[in-house]
Amino acid sequence: MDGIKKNISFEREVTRVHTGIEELDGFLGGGLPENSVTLVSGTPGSGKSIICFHYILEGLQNGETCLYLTSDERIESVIKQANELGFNFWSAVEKGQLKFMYVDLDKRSIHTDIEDEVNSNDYTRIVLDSLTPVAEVPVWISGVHEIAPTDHSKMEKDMPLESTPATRTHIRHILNIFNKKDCTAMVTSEVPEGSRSLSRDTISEFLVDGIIMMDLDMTMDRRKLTIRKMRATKHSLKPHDIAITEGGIQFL
Amino acid sequence: MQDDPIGYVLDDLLKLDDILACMVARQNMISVMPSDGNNSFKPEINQIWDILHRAMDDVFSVIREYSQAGLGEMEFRLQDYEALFYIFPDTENALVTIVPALANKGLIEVEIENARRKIIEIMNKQENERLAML
Repeated sequence: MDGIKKNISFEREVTRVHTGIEELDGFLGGGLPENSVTLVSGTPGSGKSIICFHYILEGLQNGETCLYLTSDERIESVIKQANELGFNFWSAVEKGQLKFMYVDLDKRSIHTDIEDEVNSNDYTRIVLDSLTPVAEVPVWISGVHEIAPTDHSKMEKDMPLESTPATRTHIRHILNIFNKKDCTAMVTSEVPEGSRSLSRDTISEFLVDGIIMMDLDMTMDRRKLTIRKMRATKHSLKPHDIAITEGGIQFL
Repeated sequence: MQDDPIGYVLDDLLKLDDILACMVARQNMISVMPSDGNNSFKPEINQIWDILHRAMDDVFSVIREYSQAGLGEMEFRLQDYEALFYIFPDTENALVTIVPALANKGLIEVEIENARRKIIEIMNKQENERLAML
């Protein structure tokens, strides 16, 4: 009996990974659970990438090795955007502490490229910004371990392209790449205006350990951040007022 | 949010006995609450808040569709309560107030309209300040 109790209490002792935003860490009981994947979703311009910048910068300041996968924008554009908000990543890139990788959606080897990069280094923090276009790449799936974007496949009859199992398997495959390593990952997902879904694909929210929702009201010039889900974490579901300033995200 | 002039307008509105809750909202998002958040809502609202909130989101789909065409107000009755939507012109946002279904709406509507006008004034002022800074 004591052994069981010990195991239970051990499991509850979760190591936390700081997000780089002090208030957010406070709301998360210290930070993101280690070895978790957190989905940051929101409408365009709501601040998803900026949360990722904070997260990466925090890792760099701790001397960690970080990987930033970008599928939406070119690397130069991401670094420039970060720089404008006060996140200077150039020196970390030059030192080899931070790697930016552009996920070329036109390449067949998209999954192996990501997997090889993740496995090639001891990355403790990984960002995928954004999951949406990667998840939308047409794929043919033959079992969990065989997945590749391609035009032709004999698997077409077995698993139609647009089927939910195919999409779910695809997204799980991508997220599993981050789970394999001893790292904590953050992935972003676009949500269309007015949508009640927590991600564009409406599946990834069920496969991740945590969800941080970013909302934007352009008319009232208000932004909100809500922690919708976080494994092993007691948290409020209350939306928090935030602002995007020159230093990034600021809680009001 | 501290020192929010729109929040103060909502605070004043909430002082009226028949206003049980008020907020500036849009679909899927409550943008501005009274300064004490939903703690300042009258307690009776809590029991139907979840369904009311969902119904509000559905109304905002209509507001989104017809605001540009000049939709100004909407309301619905749910159980013993009424939700009144005073839409900010040409936007997807509205001042939403929850009142008892049997309330005398004559006076309340005047107060809500005044609050809407004050909020529009504040929004315009804030927009001008932002433009001046550019």
